[in-house]
Amino acid sequence: MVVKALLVALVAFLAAIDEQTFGACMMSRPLFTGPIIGLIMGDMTTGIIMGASLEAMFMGSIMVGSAVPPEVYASSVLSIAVAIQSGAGVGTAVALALPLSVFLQMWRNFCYAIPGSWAGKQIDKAVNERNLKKANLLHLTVVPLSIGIPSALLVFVAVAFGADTINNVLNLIPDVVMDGFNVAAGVLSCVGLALLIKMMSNSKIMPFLFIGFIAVMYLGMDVIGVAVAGLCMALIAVNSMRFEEAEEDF
Amino acid sequence: MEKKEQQSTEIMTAKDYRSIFWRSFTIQSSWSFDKMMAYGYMYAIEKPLRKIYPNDDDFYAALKRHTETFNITPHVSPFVMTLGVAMEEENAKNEDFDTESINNVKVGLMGPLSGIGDSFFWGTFRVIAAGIGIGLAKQGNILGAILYFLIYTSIHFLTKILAGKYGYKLGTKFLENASENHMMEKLSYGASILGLTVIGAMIGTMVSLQTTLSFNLSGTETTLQSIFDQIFPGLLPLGATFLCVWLYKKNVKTIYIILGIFVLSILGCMIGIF
Repeated sequence: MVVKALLVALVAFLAAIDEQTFGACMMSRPLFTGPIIGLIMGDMTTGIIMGASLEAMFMGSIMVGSAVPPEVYASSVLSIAVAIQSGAGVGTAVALALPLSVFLQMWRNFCYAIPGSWAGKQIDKAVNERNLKKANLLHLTVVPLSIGIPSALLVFVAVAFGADTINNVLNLIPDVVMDGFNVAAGVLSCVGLALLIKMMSNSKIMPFLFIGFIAVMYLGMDVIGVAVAGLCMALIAVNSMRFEEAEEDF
Repeated sequence: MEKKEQQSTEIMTAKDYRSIFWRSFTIQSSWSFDKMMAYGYMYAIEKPLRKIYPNDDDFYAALKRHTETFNITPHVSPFVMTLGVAMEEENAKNEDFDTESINNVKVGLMGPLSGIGDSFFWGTFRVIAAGIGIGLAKQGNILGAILYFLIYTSIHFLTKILAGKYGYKLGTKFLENASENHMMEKLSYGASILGLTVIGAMIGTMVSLQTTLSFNLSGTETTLQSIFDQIFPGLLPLGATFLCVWLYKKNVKTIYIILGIFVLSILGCMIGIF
């Protein structure tokens, strides 16, 4: 059982860091991890079918912009393993993996906020010290490991000792903290946008920012539409630019 | 030596394209709420940058330029990466080059390319591939997983390869005549207008903050949010963003801003604001 749990945890680790390390190549989705977990747990067909059901269920949850979707990867690995282990149906297995999914989603947000931001500071420092190797190492390891290791550990414990073990622990986290993390995850992208605004701001062109904002909020345009409008405004502005010809010697 | 000089007009060799291609997979490896994919972008273009700037001073100055906040659909990222390389190459050749324009162009491309990339990859393509896969896998057929992976990956790889090629081609072609007619100034100015417009749109789409506060107004229960929605929808996301801009202008460190957001969010949930 321990060997099986270790292998399942390894798959969970790789799946959890897919967005970070493997460029969201989709090998982390339940449709793909299903057969692998099936193979490990000794029932490939069930693994494939479970993977299909979970994939259909999670179809809508994807990483777009910076909205963080419910954790699909490690928790669907756990769901499939639990389903094969206990012979429970899809619904029961998902219900058992749900607390983990909620927790890992929260954890992921935390990793983007604190370890991610910390790694950024350190990379800046490394570039200043002209230590490229260190910068690259920080870029490649900090966030993937801080997301991957807890995911793998929790999945390991759940498969080896039963999902109830961790569910009891995870239920100790107060709802207010969970809700607070979700609110924070929604707002936090404003930090990155604020950095860009601070860098680019020049009071002359600030009105364009508000035009973009109003186009979305009042007119309900999508980003592509706003970008096309922005391009037109940029062309108009550029074409009416005036240059002092004094520098050019005739 | 003479010959080498001639060749240096095409700095991107097959090897460099490959380097950018493979490295671009890790673009989200250090994703954070403040810098997003900045360092992933920097990591991807290191090899060609080194070629452009053999001198350490210039090389690290160039790397530093690429540590600014950046975010894009990962699948189309090589386009902006090789375009950035083309601009760095022009910068090395042309003394009048305005380095600020590099970041302006990057920011200007973020929104439009992500808009296309997100809807194409996440919205359309993955759903089609998954649909085919799920159909087969439901019957316990392993082909479901394999087909899903093959269909998705082939388009994913093809897009990345083509994006990389065309980013550089377009960049060099455009920049060839850039030194004439104030082209660079125009590009920089135009790109910053486009960039700011799209950032404004992104505040509306990426930042979400709503209050659940409700109160009794002459007998009827009203939520504060519905009043905001009537007067100025998106007041809270916009306010939060500009509060951050203000804090940055006061030189408050990123980590304190992020921690502050966590603390305020949790406190807000406790007293029922959010």
